[in-house]
This record gives sequence, structure tokens and C-alpha cells, in this order.
Amino acid sequence: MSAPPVGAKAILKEVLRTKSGIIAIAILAFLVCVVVIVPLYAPYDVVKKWNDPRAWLDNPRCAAPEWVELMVGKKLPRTIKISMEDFRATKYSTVLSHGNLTIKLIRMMAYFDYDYDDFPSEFGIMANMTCLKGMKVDIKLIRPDGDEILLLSKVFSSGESSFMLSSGDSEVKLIASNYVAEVTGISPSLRLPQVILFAEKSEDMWNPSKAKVLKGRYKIVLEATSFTPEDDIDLEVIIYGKVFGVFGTDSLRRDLLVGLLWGAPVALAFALTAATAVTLIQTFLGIVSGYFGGKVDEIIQRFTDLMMIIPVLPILILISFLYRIGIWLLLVIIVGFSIVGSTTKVVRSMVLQIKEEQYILAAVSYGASSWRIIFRHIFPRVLPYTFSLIALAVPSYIFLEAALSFLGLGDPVLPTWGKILGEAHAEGAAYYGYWWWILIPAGFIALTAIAFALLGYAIDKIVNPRLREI
Amino acid sequence: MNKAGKQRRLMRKINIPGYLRFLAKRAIFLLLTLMIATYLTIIIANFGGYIDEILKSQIEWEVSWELSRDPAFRKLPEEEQERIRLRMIEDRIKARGLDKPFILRSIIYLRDALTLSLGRAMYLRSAGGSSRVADIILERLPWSVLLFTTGTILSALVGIYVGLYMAKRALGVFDRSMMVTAILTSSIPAWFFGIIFLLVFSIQLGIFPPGGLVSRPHTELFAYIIDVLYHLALPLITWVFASFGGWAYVTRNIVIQIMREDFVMAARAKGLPERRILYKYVLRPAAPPIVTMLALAIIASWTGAIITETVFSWPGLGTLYWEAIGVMDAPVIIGLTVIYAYLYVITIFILDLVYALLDPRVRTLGG
Repeated sequence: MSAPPVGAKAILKEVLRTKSGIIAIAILAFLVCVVVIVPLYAPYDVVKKWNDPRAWLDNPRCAAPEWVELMVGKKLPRTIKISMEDFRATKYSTVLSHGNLTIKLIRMMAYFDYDYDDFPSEFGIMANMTCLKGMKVDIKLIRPDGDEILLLSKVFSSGESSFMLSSGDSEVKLIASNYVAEVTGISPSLRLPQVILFAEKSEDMWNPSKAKVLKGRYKIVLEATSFTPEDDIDLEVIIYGKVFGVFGTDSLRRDLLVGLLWGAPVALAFALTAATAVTLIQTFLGIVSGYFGGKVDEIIQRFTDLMMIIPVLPILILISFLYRIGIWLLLVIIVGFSIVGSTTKVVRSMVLQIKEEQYILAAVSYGASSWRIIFRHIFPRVLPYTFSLIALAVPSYIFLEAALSFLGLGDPVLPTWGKILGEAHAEGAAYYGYWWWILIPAGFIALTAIAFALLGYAIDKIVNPRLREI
Repeated sequence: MNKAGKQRRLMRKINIPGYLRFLAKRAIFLLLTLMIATYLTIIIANFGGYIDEILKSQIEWEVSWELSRDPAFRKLPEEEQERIRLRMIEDRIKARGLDKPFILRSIIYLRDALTLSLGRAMYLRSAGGSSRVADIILERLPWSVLLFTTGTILSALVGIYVGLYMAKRALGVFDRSMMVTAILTSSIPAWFFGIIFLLVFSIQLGIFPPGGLVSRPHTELFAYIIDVLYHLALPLITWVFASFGGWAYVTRNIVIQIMREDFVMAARAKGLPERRILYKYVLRPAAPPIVTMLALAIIASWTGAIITETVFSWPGLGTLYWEAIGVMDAPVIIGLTVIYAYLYVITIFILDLVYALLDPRVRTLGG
């Protein structure tokens, strides 16, 4: 048996010789890449908007990742946005005056090609207007088969500045159901405008599981009549799809990619700092306890026993609930609760052996101070062992943060993996079948935890001679 | 030598005064630990006295509301009204003991907690409508015990069996693959598997119910039991799956270590059958650490697992703790922590007692 290697470089070299070590390093390298990509893809000001629902209005709600297409073999709808600029490009207005009667006519039109195999999830129409003397607005959808559906025909009184229309509105639902009645003669039992308006004409055009998508070019036409030349209107239309981005979206339309990418540095920073701080402090106190012995030893050991009995998780849950603390203060409290623990005990027993060794006695004999011996001669001996302890401790802190976030006690601002998972659970994502919202954050958490567990195991096998033999 | 003789020799070797001194020391230390842990919880759960302020303003509001509905009271002159109001508030605050400073009251709380007079809950009630903390806790305890104690014992049994098998063929294919499984499953907590298992087995495949204790109220006992068992299955499987790897890993390592001891070699050299060596020479010394772990794990399992129970909506102590935190019901939070600390400390003391008897190094300590 060879002596266990000392020093980070030597250990890393040994780690890369084991299979579990290679897998661990590969996963960690991937995560580090993610951390590096994050500021490029989603700078901090994007994340600051994470809790602002208005920032995500352009995304579909609870949309699956785009690559789901490959699994279902259908072309799933993306989100189509027709911006105000698109409409403005076709805007045509004339002002007619006759005596003291002035009439302004505005007309604009935009089209989009819909050739997906599934219906949109929702649609929404937003308009901004300047309306000084009242305005009549008509919005029409012209389907590829030539049918015209009047989505809105309304007179706005002076002073109104915007309106919104969405597939969830009862007026739109009524229009859609009237359309079905007009085409088929029966009134539908389900009134889903996003299905009916985009379906081929048939008896089942209201039934999302039976209706067929009408593919082709759809047009949206706006006609407005007002009474002063200053009046104006701008339109924006969003046809929400069913898939979005790499990781899909949640119920608040947030791009999960942004949240999950940001979860990586947060999780790594939190867990690594906690694991390193806790392990090093515990190691230090273990060395002190073992080296000095006597009263110091007695106090540290009794204190360790005490802290090991205190139920930490319930107390942490209690503290985070009552004081609503952020993730970094939580970190401080966790470290505070674990300045002593099982590592203190293990290191102490190691030091009791080490301090009887000849090189320590030699150091004592030439008059080295206690602290010099501790830092120069004992600490380096224990250090490799602490590496494995740090790596093995990381998963527990990742899951601790995830657990608190899962209960809704996580950081109020930053998106973390646990928080995303907790929201998914709270919104019943499993029940509705939004699997990506659960499995992807869970996958990230598990992947990171597994990487550190394997790394810790690999280091442990190298630095722990007892395990080396086995 | 007969057994009785052995026993006598053993007793003679024990240094009785030293042993008692050791036990007394441990008992005092554990009691002190219990007090500190409980006191810490009391301080935090009462928000450092903030709960008192909430209660006081609640009393004030109650009194004003009651008086405002009393027509006789409204006829009194204004000063008289104010005087009566203040006196009623003061009386009620005194009746609930809120007039003393928090530090003093926290000591009273500590005394009550340690003597297990857990008092009444502020908001939570048991299913029978009782507000006694003891009733509320006792009502939930069986469900936590049913799920987690069964689960812990089951996973320990499975784990120990697998661990023995691994040790027998150390470094074989089974050993290596189980090792990886053990590392992976033991670094991931049960609640995490719970979420995924719920999604896959309950929602997608529909094999198990999506949490809870029963699907509907039952009048028939047999149907009730069947329904509970049906709901118990998935959390139980999850718990066993998440923790058996750890048991297997530890057992394997302990057993392999013992197998390299000289006395096992000697037994092998004598030509004893491998089975006999395993059960008589290896398992015996391996038992104490495993039993210790099992004892501590079972105690820990009694308090349930807050998050695992929440995931499965299992109505045990873990969920109770979470509910109590949600409404800031300090007496329930303190009651649960105290019960947990007591169970833990008593177990540790019993283990100390037994070890001191078994271990010659501890036995002669201080003598």
C-alpha cells in the first residue's frame, strides 16, 4: 500500500484515474460551463425581472420545451407575435371632412402563416390608442378558408388609452361558440376560441382532441373610425404556442431556461461555501480539541455533543419562516449551527494519533509553537481527508436549500432550482402533466448532488487508506 | 466454563462506583443538553417575545369588540367606558400570564416543557376538537410511526442483507454496481424521490394514489385499513428506496473490515464453514454499531420527515410541525421539539448504559 497522496494536484490526478472520478469531473465541468454561459445568455437585469409577471407576457403559459416535437413527431406551435411595428407598416389612414364634421378612418392588416399540427394555447390582442372624441374599432380575423370572424366591434369613449382582448374573455368565447353554431348548427359544449377559430370546419371543430388544425395564412384586420385627425391606434397580437425554448415555461410564462441557468451558480455558490466553511471550521476545532486536550478538549467535545442533539432542520425551517431571510443570511445561520459536528469528532480522533508521531515530537523539541505545529504540520495531514468531506457535504446543502425553497421559504428574489421545483409542486404541475417543470429542475439538482457524491467517494477512496485496501 | 460463571467474572471486573459516576456524568450532561435545545426552541418559536405582543393586541381587539356589542356599556359615560375597557384588557392579560416579562415567562415555558405539561395549542385542534398539545401530537404520532418506523426497519433489513451479500463477493459486479447505487441514492433525500415517484407512478401510470391517508371516508374498518395501506405503499417504497443504500454501504464496510481481523482468519484456518464464520464471528462484532445506527434512525423517524410528509400529504408529525409553523402555533412547535429531544436523549442514554456495560474501555473509566 502506498502512502495517501497529499496536495490538491496529486489528489486530482488520482481522482481522474477512477471511473466515478471521471464522471464527477465531467458533470462538474458541464456545470462550470453553465455558470460561465449564464451572464451571456441572461444577464443579471433579466433575472431581476424573474418575479415581475409583466416581464414575461410574450411567452406562452406552461409550454413544453421545443424538443418535445421530436418525441411526439408533430410540429407543435411556436408563439407568433405580430408587433405594433408590423401593424404600423400596413397602417393606412384618411381624414375626411365635411363642414365641421371630421372623420378619420384607420385601417391596418397583418397576416401570419399557421402550419403547425396543434392548436395555439391562447391568443391575446392589445391595443394602445389616442382617443379624444370616441372611436369605433372593429377587429376581424380572416381564416384561410375565407371566413371572416368579427372579434371585436366596440365604440370606445373619449379618454380611453388601451384595451386587451384574450381567448379567455367571455365575449371572445361567445363569438367562437356563435361561429360554431353558424357553421354546424349546434352549440358546442366546450368554448375554446383558440381551438375553434383555428379548426377546420366540421362537427367536432370545438373539440380539441378531435378537431383538425386549419393550416394556412390568417389575416387580422383592424378598422377604426374616429372624429378627430389626432386620434390613433396601435395593435399587437400574440398567438401563444405550446412549446417554448429549451426548457419550457412555468405558469407565470417565465422562461425556465433563465431560472435554471441562474440556479446553477446560486446552488453551487451556496452549497460549496456552506460545505467548505462548515467542514473547515469543524476540522479546525477538531484539531484544536485533539491537540490541546484537557479542558479545551472537554469543552469542545461537550459542545459538539450538544449541537449534534439539537434538531437543526426544524429550527432552520422555523427561522426562515418567521424571519423570511434571504439565501445568504441562511448560509450564515447554517454555518453558525454547524461550527461543531461529526467532523470535529473524526478529526479529533485522527489528531490524537497524529500528535504522537515522531515528526510532531521533533517539531515540539526544536521549540515550534503550538499554532505553528497545528497549521504547518497537522493541518496539511488532515486536509486531504477534508476534501472528501467537503465534496460529500455539498449534496446535503444543495438539498437543504432545495428543501427550504420547496416549502416556499427560499430566497425571495433569486430563482433557485428548489424554488422552481417547489412552485411546480404548489401549482400541481405533476397533476396537469407539466413534467418538464418538475423533471428538469429535479434533474439539475440530482446531477449536481450526484457529481459531488461521486467526487467525494473518489477522493475518499484515495485519501482513506482503509478504503484503499478494500 | 458455564454461563453463570462467566457472568460473575464479568460483574467482578466492572468498577461499580466508576460506572455509576460515568452514568451520572452522562445523565447530567444529557439533561443540560435537553434544556438548552428546548430553551433555544422556545426563544425562536416565540419570535423572541413577539408572539406575546400579537397575543396582547389580539386580547385588546377582542375586548373592544365584545364591549362595543354591549348596549348597557354604550350607555355609560366615555371615561367610565375607557376605564372598564382597560381593566378588562389588563385582567385578561394577567389571566393568560402575559403581564410578566418574556424572559421570566420563557423560564416558566421551559419548566412546563421539561415536565411535559405541554399546555394548549393557540390555533391547531385535534380531529376530536381538543386543543391540548399532547392530544394533537398523540393523534398524529401513530401515522408517522406507521410510515417511517416501518420504513426505517424495512430499509435497514434490506440494506443489511444487501450489504452482507456485497461483502461476501467484494469487488464483484454486484458489489460495484450496488456501491454506485448506494452512493447515488443515499446522497439524494427521500422527499426528492417522492416528487419524482409521485409524478411517474401516481400521476402518469396511476398505480398509486397521489398522497393523503385515505381516498374517502370509510365506515367499515377493513376497507379503511386496506385504503390506508394502499396510500402507505408509495411513501413507504420511496423511504426504503432512498435509505437502503446507506445501510448496505455501511454494513458492507463494517463486515469487510471485520473479515480481515485475525480471529476471522483463525476461524477460517480452523476450517469452519463460511456460513458459520459469517454469523458467529463476523456479525457479532458488527452488530453494536449497526444497532446503534438503527436505534438512532428509528428515534429520528418518529418525528417523521417534515418535507417527505408534506410531499405525500401524509398526516403525521412532520406535517403537523409544518402546519404549526404556518400559523405560528408556538406551543405545538415547542411540544414537538421537546418530545423529539426527550426521545433522542433517552435513547442516547440507554445506548451509553449498554455500551458502558459491554465495552471494557468504558467500563473501567474513571475507576
